[in-house]
Amino acid sequence: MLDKRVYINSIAGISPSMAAKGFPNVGEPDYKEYVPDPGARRRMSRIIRMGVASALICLKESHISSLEGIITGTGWGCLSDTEKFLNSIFENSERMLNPTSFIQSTSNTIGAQVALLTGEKNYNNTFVHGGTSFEAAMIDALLKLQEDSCENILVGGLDEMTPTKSHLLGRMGVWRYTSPGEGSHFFVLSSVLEKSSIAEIVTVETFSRDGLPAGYSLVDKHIDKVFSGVENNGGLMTDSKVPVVNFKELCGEYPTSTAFALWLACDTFNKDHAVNNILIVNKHLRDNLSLVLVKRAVL
Amino acid sequence: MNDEILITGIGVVTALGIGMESQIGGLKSGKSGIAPLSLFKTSHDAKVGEVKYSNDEIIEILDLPKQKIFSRTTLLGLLAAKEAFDDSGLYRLKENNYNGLKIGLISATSVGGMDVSEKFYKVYRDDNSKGRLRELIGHDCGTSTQIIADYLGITGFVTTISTACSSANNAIMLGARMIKYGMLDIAVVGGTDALCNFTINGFSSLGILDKEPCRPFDESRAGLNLGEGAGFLVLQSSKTSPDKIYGVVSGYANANDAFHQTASSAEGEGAYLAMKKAITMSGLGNDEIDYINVHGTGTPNNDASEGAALTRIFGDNVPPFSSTKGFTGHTLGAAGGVESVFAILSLYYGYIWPNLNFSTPMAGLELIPETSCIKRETMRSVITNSFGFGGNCTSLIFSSYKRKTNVG
Repeated sequence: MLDKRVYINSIAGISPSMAAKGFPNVGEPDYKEYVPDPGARRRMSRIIRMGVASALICLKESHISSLEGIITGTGWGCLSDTEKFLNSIFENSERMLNPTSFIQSTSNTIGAQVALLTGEKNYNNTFVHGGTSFEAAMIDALLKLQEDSCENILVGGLDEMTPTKSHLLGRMGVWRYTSPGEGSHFFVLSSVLEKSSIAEIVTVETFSRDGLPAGYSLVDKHIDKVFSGVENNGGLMTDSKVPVVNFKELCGEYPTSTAFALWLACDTFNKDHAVNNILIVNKHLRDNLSLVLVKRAVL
Repeated sequence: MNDEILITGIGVVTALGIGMESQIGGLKSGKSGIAPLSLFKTSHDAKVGEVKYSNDEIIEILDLPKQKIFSRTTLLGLLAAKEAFDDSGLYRLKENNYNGLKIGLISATSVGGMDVSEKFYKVYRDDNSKGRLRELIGHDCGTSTQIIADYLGITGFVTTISTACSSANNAIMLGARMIKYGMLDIAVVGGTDALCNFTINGFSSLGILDKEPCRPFDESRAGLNLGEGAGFLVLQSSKTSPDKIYGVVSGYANANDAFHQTASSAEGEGAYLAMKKAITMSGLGNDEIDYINVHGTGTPNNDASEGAALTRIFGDNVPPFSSTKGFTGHTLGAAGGVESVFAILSLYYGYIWPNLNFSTPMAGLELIPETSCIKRETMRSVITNSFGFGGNCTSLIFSSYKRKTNVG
């Protein structure tokens, strides 16, 4: 449907859940390197620090000369700043409140901070649609990249787990069948195929909460591996020979975990030359189902 | 590619009332909807643009199940989205499963279900085993959108945008772009936000709430009044056969000021880039813009910055313009939806809406908004601006539709 093909030319991610399981180089970095101003660093909540650092690493490693947009997706938004400001309202009886946590409570804070730190005045958008926030950000980027004047867009998916969020989801019974997760992953999506291109995005689709529409078939799609974040994979795959990896065993459960799965797919292309096509299937709790199909980029 | 994006339905709710007729009546009469806050208790002496219906009354109007908990953001969004949906005649297509056309919903909100969450949190913070979990289901911004989609029977692409006060303009832009590239045939687009204690306190902590009615673009302006509401449009590709056509989306652009997390640059760089790029995309000359519904919040910073951007683009020939926030207050994430509706009503019915509470131009910028309602025989194109925290600036251009409409 879209004329121009879109490639993933750079990736970066922070996955505290994966780091806790002993994987190297995926945890939180030394933020001093990315936000040198100690005051600014202190004011940033953890999701902002994780988001800004992974975005800047992704840009640095991309070696691109121009960036035409920054698009983020976050299902939960800036939870800790929201809670901090709510608490301050109650604690101080609405008087003399510090506006910092209010300012940083809006979901577009990370995209805005990246724009500020890079002086990037182009397209800037933020999606907040639960378990398909990152998918919508990717679709927005695919469309924007169709324009002649647009070659590179930074796209990220991120969520933070806070003690309150974890406690509340626990009260709802969620942790009986999955474990808490969080993370921030950014990608440079480009309309230009480079020698360093890692993957090509074949499709990004979102569906209703009920799953795939009747008659939707994956049989005709050539797939080497499935990264699944869906509790029950039944009905999605008819060819059982394709290996299925439950990626949430690595990253935990959070709305934008598709961004983690996409990072993992790119990492797999980099490390395993026998894998050329990966399908990501995901569904966060009772949110909408999504499919992302990527293949190895070949110049 | 579909280069013609038709506007085929409108829906809106603000402090001026429910539905577009209430808005036209209010805007023509010059009577503001801003009044002292009555929805909830706060220690702040705030004048706001409240929608003058309780949640229970709206639940009644929409015929929703009474035992369910709906955030006010959801209820306002449902009112406006349903009006737009019905106005465009989509309910008839729905009976035929939209004749196979791809229909999607893109909504926008900045507070989401905060009005309910803050009630929950008050109980929870004292005892974390307390608080009704059902009240939390609507907290995430996407929930209001999903409820609107279910209510209208939209099962295709559904998403939510949140870029503070420019949110709804970005939702409209994405809908237009998805139709342009054939990903959707019909897009219901807009935004919704309700008043809540969180935002009253937030804007108060920033020191930008005016205790008096806001005075956009006036030298004496001292801040904004918060408002609430929702505004939705139905956009269709020219391949469909709509009942009526209000106009077309002829330009859109989003830019970032990249200056400060909350403040706008003195030269209005983000606003300038958004308007400039939208005008370039539309192919229109500056003299073909007949009205601009400016963002004009009434804060010293926004209006000076936006005024500077207008002057940079139009020089001494700034088109007739007004901020309608003196009528509705600043409806935050919904503002782009509400004001796109106002801009389209201006285009379609030939009115230039007045800017309330203006008397003296800002020093150094001899910009004078329209202060009374003016009737025009023809309107060619209108711009609407929405700018937000984080430097997010988006401008949209709507143009009149020349061809005769297909009826039926």
